[in-house]
Amino acid sequence: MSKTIGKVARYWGPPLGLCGLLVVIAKLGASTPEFEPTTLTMLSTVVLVVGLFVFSGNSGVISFGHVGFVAIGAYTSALLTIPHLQKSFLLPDLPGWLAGASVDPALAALAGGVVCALVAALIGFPLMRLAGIAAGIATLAFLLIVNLVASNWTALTGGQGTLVVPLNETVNGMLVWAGAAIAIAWVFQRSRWGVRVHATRDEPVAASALGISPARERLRAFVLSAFITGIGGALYGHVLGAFSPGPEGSFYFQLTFILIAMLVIGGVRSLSGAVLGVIVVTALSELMRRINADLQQVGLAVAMLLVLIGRPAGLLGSKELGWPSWLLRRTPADQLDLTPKKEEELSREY
Amino acid sequence: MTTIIQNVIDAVSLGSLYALIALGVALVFSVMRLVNFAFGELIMVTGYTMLLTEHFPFAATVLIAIAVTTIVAVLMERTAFRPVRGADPTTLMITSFALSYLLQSLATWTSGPLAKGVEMPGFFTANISIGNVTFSALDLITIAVVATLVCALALLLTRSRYGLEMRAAAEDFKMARLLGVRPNRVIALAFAISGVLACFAGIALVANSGTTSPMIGLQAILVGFVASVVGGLGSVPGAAVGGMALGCVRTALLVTLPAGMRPYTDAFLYTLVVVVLLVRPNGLFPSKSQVARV
Repeated sequence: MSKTIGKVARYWGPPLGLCGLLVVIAKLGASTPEFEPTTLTMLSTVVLVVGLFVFSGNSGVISFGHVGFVAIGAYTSALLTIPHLQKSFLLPDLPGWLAGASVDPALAALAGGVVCALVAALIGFPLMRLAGIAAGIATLAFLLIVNLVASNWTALTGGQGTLVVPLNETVNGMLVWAGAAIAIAWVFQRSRWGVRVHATRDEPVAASALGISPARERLRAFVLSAFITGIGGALYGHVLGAFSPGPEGSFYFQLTFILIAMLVIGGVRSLSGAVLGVIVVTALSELMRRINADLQQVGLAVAMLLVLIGRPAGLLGSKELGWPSWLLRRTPADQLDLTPKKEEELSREY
Repeated sequence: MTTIIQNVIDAVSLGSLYALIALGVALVFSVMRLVNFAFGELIMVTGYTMLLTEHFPFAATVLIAIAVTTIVAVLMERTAFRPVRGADPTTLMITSFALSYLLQSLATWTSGPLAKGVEMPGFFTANISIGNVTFSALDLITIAVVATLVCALALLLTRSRYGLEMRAAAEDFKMARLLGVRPNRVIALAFAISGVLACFAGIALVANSGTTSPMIGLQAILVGFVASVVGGLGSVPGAAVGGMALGCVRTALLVTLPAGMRPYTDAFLYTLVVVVLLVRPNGLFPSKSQVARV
């Protein structure tokens, strides 16, 4: 019996630790009204970065296109939650069934996730055959296309204008969403599918030789990742309260850069790294903002460069948070070091 | 007939600008496997240098802009990219992403986020008429300058010792080092050349819009990035062809799409790009060093 408890505790250690950390930080942050918006933004960003991690972290393929899913999630939820009266003058050309739609915010967020998952399945089917830089370009093309459509499909998105959505998120509600995202990402990472997609990341040739199709494994991660990012996008939209498309808008390079920076600073290969990256970057930019608001972006960019130069694998590398080692009886599995050695073995070609 | 000629000139002019940008991206990639997002900010540096020197004689403005942009390009390599040299391409790409963001924020911090007007000599905006066909002088200047630059670059790469070293480094860096090619020198040279190319691209972009802004390089780097990947990353001639093709296809789409679809031109363009990548993941002319061997 105690063995089972030990097993369960060992398995759920990292996600529980991360959730605990988030609860403490969120409660501390929300205790002062001044910090409440920052706390809400941080928690919705946790969902976004965990979503990005599910694909990029597990498959090793960098995606510049996830902000496209953020936008799709945010617009889907906006269309389902903006009050009827407001919709009639913000978006007068909406088709009738959407104009009358008004659902619970949680359902709207889930709808955002589902729409993103469907889009991901559709575009991922061809795109996931690509890897490396070609995949980067293809996902970038997706971001550009989503942005163009959002800027020009006036009937559905209000075009270039700003869309005002209800501010209806609470810290407790956001904690539940962030916790759920972390739990889903963790279960996926430790599942058979997770291990298979890791195999295509670390040893693509060996994985193919064992009959693991990189395209299929990546597609699974991509669809799940889009689902989480879509939910995160819906939440993020409601935290912002108002957003607009376009190059200077809410869902373009600025956000893409920040999400990737968070993931990379924490450690691309670790779920704990993804969450920690959000916390560190949020704290850092909040601090910078207090010192000198103009320097916030400059400081963030310098911090990211320093991390990349000093620790190319991120703050945590591929480690996960967990129980302190003295609490756990060591098992044979612990003796095995499964972390890939790639980082240390940078080719010394140059 | 006259509209066809005008459209062809437009297409070639846009294509040569894209080819110029793609060459700048591809040259650096070929020697150190770095997709340099910060290339766009070299264009931005040109823009702001031109803004600061706009009252100088135009020749002086151009010379100063070339010097400043080249120096910034070499400094970029020295400070940000040398420490991560040899890391995997994704890490390199993200490093350049961070550097690009840093330079953009610095520009926003020092001179504000809005576009600023730059005074350009009158001959850029003139129109030249031959028979009943009217050409914009800017288009013709762009085509002529890019043609000259491409010829000069081709001569440098094929006829000089430095060019030979650079091509050797692009093909097999380790082997080139063993045969006495100095890595620091060849990489710095690639950055310097890409700085010169960025400067000319910057002048063309500023002449075209009459303004400079922190975001001026964004569109350019996207195009350069896409064109060099379509052409075949690592292949310098491929990048030129990719850029030209992208410019021509974009003009063709602009001309043929019905008015209602025109805002979506780039969406069609990028969809085509993805299709090309799906058929040929290594681009149209893959470089030998990029084809995976097991």
